[in-house]
Amino acid sequence: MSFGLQVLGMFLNNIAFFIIWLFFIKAIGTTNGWGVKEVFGLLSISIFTYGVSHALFGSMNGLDDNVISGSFDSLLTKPKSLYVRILNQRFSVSSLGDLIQGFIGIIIFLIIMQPSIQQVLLLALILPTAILAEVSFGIVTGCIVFWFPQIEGLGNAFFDLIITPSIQPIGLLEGTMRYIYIFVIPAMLLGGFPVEIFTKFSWYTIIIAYLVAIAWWLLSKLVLKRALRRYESANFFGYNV
Amino acid sequence: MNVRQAWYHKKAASVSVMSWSIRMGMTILLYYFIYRLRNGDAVNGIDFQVAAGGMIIYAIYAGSGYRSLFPIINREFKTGGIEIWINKPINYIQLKIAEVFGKSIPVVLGLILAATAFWVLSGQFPQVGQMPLRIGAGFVLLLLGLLIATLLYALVGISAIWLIDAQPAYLILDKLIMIFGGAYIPIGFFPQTFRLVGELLPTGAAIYVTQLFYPDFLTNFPRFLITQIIWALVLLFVVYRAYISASTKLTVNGG
Repeated sequence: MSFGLQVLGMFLNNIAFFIIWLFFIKAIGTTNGWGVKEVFGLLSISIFTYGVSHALFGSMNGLDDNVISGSFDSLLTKPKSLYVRILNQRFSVSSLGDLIQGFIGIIIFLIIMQPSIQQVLLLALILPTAILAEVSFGIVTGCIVFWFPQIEGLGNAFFDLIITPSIQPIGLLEGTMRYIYIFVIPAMLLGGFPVEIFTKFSWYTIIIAYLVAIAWWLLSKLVLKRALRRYESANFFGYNV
Repeated sequence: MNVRQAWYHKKAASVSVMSWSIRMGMTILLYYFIYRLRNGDAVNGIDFQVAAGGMIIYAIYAGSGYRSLFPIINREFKTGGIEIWINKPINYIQLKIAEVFGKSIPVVLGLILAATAFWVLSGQFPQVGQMPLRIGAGFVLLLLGLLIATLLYALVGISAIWLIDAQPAYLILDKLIMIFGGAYIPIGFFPQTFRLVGELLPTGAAIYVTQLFYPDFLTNFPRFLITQIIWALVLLFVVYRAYISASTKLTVNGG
């Protein structure tokens, strides 16, 4: 029952996003080349990348709980890389709903757009950058708990900084705002860039996506390393099954 | 954490204010860009100032901390942590409500300060008539709305005892309040029928205050007030019954 409810919950949650942003586009009309099709594609891709990131690496948002409860100790005592242990500690069931729904959305988007084989391959090429950027951003924001352990859910609040714009039609932005969403908060990688493969493709987009995703991955490793220096063992006794 | 403790952790409150301000700022900037592309033309009678004003009110409203009720109640029901509270001579739900609101007072004040700074520096405060009347009506709707939201989140938290994991119900509730509160898009952008249905739901009734600057706010006020009173009474009864029922199902294992 719990599994079904979780999947249903995420499904309804995503449907709500589709509905409101379609209302939005209907109200403002096609703007800067972004219409109903583009927004549908953006939401599908963003939901898919969110689903993959959270289903496979769900524990990136669980650092708060681990550190505050003291169960983080159990991760430190294992011989594997801590970065990998943090990521694959938990499997998020509800995110499977996102993954499936996003995938179906992408298929529908591809049917609507009638792309060439080259465009489909480019989409497959750019999707890993979205997942890497999201996971790395999640690690960085999750590490905030090491500096502010007294604020419950702060890491998630900051993680929303990438999730909120990733489900908004930010692809229509230009100038400084666009650069902010590429380099400062890499939300453009999560949905905007993949959609642009079908609207205004350039290799420059793919190169930037890879450079930004790798930069965020390196930053996440560095932040985790610095954060660990602030951690003190809770002497927590527990076990993992 | 009480108010004094919350002030003590002023760094924590500052970070929360910053997080909310950045998030809302990002959405407002998106709208600013869109309205600029439209040469400032209103969308469904909603201009940029009104759209941004609604989002700012939503941020202040959400900063009040009612959203924290669910994770706290959910966790204490699931982990058994509730047992250290229910043997005290005070109602558990009331205690948790006081706790989250007390903890959030500095955040709300910080957000009001940030909003004032935004309006003063940008000059984008909505130019609407009958402001004193609007503020008075908005304050009533704010209090009743917060009561409804608090009861809704408490109810979802209590439901953890039957659902095991009430997270999906929380997600749906949270998103409905965000949608009908105009956190993503102003409710004035919605088609009329959808907007009306949304307003009649408790999740919409919880957050009428975000329509404070809308042209039709004062016209709709009596309807909003009646809907809120009905939902507040219904939810008070439901939460009370659910809490009694959950308390009887609760098993303390000791240890």
